[in-house]
Amino acid sequence: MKIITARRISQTFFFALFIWLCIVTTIGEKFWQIRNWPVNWFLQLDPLVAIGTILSTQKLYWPLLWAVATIILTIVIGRFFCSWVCPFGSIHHFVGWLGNRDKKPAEKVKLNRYRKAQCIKYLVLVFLLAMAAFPSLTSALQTGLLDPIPLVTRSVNLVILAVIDRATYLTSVSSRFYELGWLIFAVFASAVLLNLVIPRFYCRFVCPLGALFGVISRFSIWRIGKNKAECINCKLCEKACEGGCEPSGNIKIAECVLCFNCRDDCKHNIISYQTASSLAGETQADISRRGFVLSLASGVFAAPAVRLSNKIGANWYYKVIRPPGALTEEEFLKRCIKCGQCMRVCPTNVLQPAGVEGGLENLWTPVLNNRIGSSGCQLNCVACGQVCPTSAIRPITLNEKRGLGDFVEQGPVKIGTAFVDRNRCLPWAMDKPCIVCQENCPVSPKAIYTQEIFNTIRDGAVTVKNVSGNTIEIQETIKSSKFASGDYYCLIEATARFKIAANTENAIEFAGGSKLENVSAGAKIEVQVRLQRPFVDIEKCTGCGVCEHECPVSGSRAIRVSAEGETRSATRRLLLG
Amino acid sequence: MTQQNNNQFGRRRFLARAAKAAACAAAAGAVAYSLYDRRGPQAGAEKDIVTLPDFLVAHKDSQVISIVTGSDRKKTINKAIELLGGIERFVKTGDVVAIKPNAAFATPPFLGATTHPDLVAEIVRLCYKSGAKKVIVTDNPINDPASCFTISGIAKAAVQAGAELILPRDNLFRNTTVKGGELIRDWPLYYEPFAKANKLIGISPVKDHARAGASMSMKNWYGLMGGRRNVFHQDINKIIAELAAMVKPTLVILDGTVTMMTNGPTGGSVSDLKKTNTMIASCDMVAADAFACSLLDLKSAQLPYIALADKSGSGVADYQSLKPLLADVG
Amino acid sequence: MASVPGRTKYLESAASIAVIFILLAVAGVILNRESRFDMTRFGILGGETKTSESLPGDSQKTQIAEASLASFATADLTPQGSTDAYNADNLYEKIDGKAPLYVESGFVQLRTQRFDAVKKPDISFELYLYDMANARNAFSVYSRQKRADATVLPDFPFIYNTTNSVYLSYGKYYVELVGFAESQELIEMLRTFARKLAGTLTIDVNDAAIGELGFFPQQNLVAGSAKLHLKNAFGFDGLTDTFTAVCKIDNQTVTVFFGKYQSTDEARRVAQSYCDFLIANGAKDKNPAGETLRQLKAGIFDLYGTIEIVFATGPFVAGIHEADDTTIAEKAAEVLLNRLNEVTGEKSDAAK
Repeated sequence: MKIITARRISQTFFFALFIWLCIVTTIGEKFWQIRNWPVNWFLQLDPLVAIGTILSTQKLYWPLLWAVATIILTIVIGRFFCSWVCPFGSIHHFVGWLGNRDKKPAEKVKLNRYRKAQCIKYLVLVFLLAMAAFPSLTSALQTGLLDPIPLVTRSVNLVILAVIDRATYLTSVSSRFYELGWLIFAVFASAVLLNLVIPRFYCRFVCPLGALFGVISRFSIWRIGKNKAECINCKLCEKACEGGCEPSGNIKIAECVLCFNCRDDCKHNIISYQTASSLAGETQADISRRGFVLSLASGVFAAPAVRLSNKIGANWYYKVIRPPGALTEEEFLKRCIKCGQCMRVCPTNVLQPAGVEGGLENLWTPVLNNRIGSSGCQLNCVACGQVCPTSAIRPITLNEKRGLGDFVEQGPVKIGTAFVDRNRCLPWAMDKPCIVCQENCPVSPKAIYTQEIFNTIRDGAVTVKNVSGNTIEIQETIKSSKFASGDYYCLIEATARFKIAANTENAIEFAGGSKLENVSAGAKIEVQVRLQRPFVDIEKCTGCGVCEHECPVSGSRAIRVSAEGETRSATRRLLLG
Repeated sequence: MTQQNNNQFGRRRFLARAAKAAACAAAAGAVAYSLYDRRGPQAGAEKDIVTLPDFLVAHKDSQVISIVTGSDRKKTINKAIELLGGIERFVKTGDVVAIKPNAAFATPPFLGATTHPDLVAEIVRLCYKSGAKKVIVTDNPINDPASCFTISGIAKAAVQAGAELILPRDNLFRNTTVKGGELIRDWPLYYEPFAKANKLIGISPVKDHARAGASMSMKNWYGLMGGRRNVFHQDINKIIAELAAMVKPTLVILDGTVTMMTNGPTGGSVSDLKKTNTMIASCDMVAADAFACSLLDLKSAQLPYIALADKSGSGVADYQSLKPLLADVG
Repeated sequence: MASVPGRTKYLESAASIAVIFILLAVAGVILNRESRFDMTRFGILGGETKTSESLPGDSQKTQIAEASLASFATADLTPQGSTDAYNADNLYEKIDGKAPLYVESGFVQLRTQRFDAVKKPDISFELYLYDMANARNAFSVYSRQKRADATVLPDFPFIYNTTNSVYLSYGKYYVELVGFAESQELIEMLRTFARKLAGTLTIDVNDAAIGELGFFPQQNLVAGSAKLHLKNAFGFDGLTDTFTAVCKIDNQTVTVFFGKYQSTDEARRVAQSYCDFLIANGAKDKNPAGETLRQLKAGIFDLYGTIEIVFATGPFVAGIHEADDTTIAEKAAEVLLNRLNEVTGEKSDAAK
């Protein structure tokens, strides 16, 4: 078997596995649902995730140990990940091949020539790692923006699958929505389409993970190179060179992605995978010292610069409601790689990629938007923490989330508090009965309670004409049948109140057993509506958002959750002590 | 010579081009004509709210409700439909018929909590005999529809008779509002399978019901409600009346061959059942329910929803006035 | 590609095949791992309750033991499908319109599991295990749903069978074993199953005793006829926790009832409201014939042809319901009164 056949099989296998793991990231017990599939395996294999989080947190989160395997293997055999495993790389490889296969060999050689601009990805890497390092100067983990595994994970999970689901209901019976999906798509599409300009554009010029591999493969035991000096320089080896590493001459070994196409294309067996350096010369990654220092300094400076708006401190944006189990904001931003797994698995679709209102670093981190999805944060669900690869959202148990079992003293996890907007709430502002929020509050005892109040309705002052049995005829007219819902009462002579059972334009009928003996003609009646006005008990409210989701004032909701009172933060508590 | 050829060539090419141009112009004109909208868009209702289509067939004063006694379902149902004018009155060639049985529980047919599969099979067979293009059998049991349809035997009966069995999925629901309704407002309705049909037949057993008093042909439409429909149990009579207003079926079949007399709607013991050997086919579900009360030893006055449904015009509670057609097939 | 030297070609093939094997191993490990899953780590949304905590909406802290009922399988019975669990919010999904009957009687949780007989697969049954929070609630739903053809069994204090099912009330649990066939063999299987089930369930023995059943006149009582109405007895919401039973007086059956209240005053108030309720609903007041009842100021009514008797004695509200004959009704009332006085006497003796 040829080695390039093995490579193609490997690419196909890992790509198919990646897509499958994206599809199964749905809660359920069936074979095509999450069960115990290792849905985070690619993210765990990604050394940039591990190194990034090591720099920002000074710890290696245990599932990321897989990255050590990748690193060691790369150190020994070279930059295999890019052309054997990486699903994003496989997409680029395929599109690049598709777009250029009709070109003549000479044109292809020209496309695959080494370009100095390929050093940019190293600068990107240094910049991102510098931002994450030096926690004393505030570190921010932004590797997720350009790290290919998180990038392709969120693109497939939040955009590709969501769009396919709309037509085929493949992974979700109802449509899934993700805010800023268009931006995620734009980044993904640009990266993919740029392969039509230069093959593996992203891999050669942008990918910080590729840059990382390029650096650590410095001492690999085996490398691609020429094993003979007599080379006629036909450059056929570069016809399908994926890394743009110039194997025909002084090979830029850090760019070589071990695709083995050069070896396969060389008609004279001059290229081989060998322990000796290439006889035509070999150079390492081409980063100028100036470039390195500039990137480093920019990264170190950028992290605190990005924090100038104090969106972590007092100027925090209150609509950033994090999932239950999220660490404090500062710790969270040191770990979140914006992979989108939590949003993908969330059964109610309430977790959304954030924009930049909470700060630039907030982009594509998970926040709750209670207006989207089927119901706010479900009381008995802790799925998001289970799929977070870096524990930015801790894998809490149900007992911890609900404050039961061992966590009774601690109490339930609160992600925010609901606030009733009395200017918009129907019973507060519009004299219309409604207790949808209270009915739907899932905690027990409910965090929304009501106080009963009777308000005289508009034009509700009427006078008695005569009384017969349970019915009172009135002198004025009122809207027929409007008061029969059980929410309307008559206050007679400001003393006795009776519930209205039915009414016509001129008569009001009361429920059986109403004692109307003392009512006489000429008595003053006020038609009143019984309102149950909601109050939020901030000691009980967990901020789950079901109330906001159900509120019938469907635009700017009359009860809205904001992040005050979240238990993960000591400074944002609403209650003293 | 060449010039003449050239001219001819040129003319031929010109004519070809002119013909193509004319065809394009004609096509443009035709498209414009077919899509022409003189009135402009109208202010429409929320696209999201749907209403069930009207499945009624032409009313015939003398053939509204038939009541046939006998112990063999196949015989009684055939006679009952024959008395109403035969299946051809209700199902025409090319019709798509939706059948809504009661498949609410995962219990076997002998416990009487679900529509008997033999009856479903017979109705499906009759529809195809009458020239139906397709027959759909569906219901929304909420809890594990697959096992409900399987254990009740309805899945096997339907499929063997050639019907398409549809199990409920979230994307088959649309919100609906019943005109004049207080409960069914912007509520999820199991809609899509019925939207595709032009005839609707409801088939339900006669059962005692702990909350409502009885579960018969009107209550059968509860199975079309989605969402957390148990909230309606608080006002059970009003919801049944609104269901009767919401659904205009072609025919309802009320199977009183075995009636669940106690511990409904689930039953559980054979002793909850009584052989009452009566089959009712009706174009008026209020009348059907009003008659079937007697099988449960109830008076229709004891079931407030019958009067409510009559009052809102969904049918006639005084079934005698409809001159029911009676027969006995032993 | 030009011919590659033999050894290199061999190495290349070996390396390629090795890679293929690695991929297969990866696939194998992943497939193995995914089939061993525990859905509860995603919360109740993912799977059955296996954590020891209350379900939402449940204010009582009840311990839910090992959730799966499949463990009740025996050599003869094998479980079909998985155990389903329901709380007050979604009970209607399983039993539809019957749910309010349970929810209004203190329902906590239902677990269901189907079993097939190993040797005869067409004999199967479904186990409905209702946790009703306490023995009185369980007894209430058990007694109110008792079938007319119930055959009372000796296995437990509250157990009967019909031709296809076995029903029992055991401590706080109401258990239905609904058989899918009518067969004596199945009934025997269900009885064995019930005994095994009861052996495994932990109940509060004091709670399970339901001592009030002893307050009925024992020699007249028709065995197994006692029912407990937690609220709304006879359609009147003032009567709570009311026990009814059928007694035989002079070879005629009559329904007797009683309920215990906090104090003698409250009992009198409740008795009076019930009398008012009967009158408001068209009952005609009659005078009691017997001296005892007259002294007690018992109410005796003719409600459209049937006789109702209501009286208060000590903390009890008691009486006769829907009797056909006035003499029998009054006699039964006196027997009941004596028994209740006896019981109160015993109690106050014990208190001394």
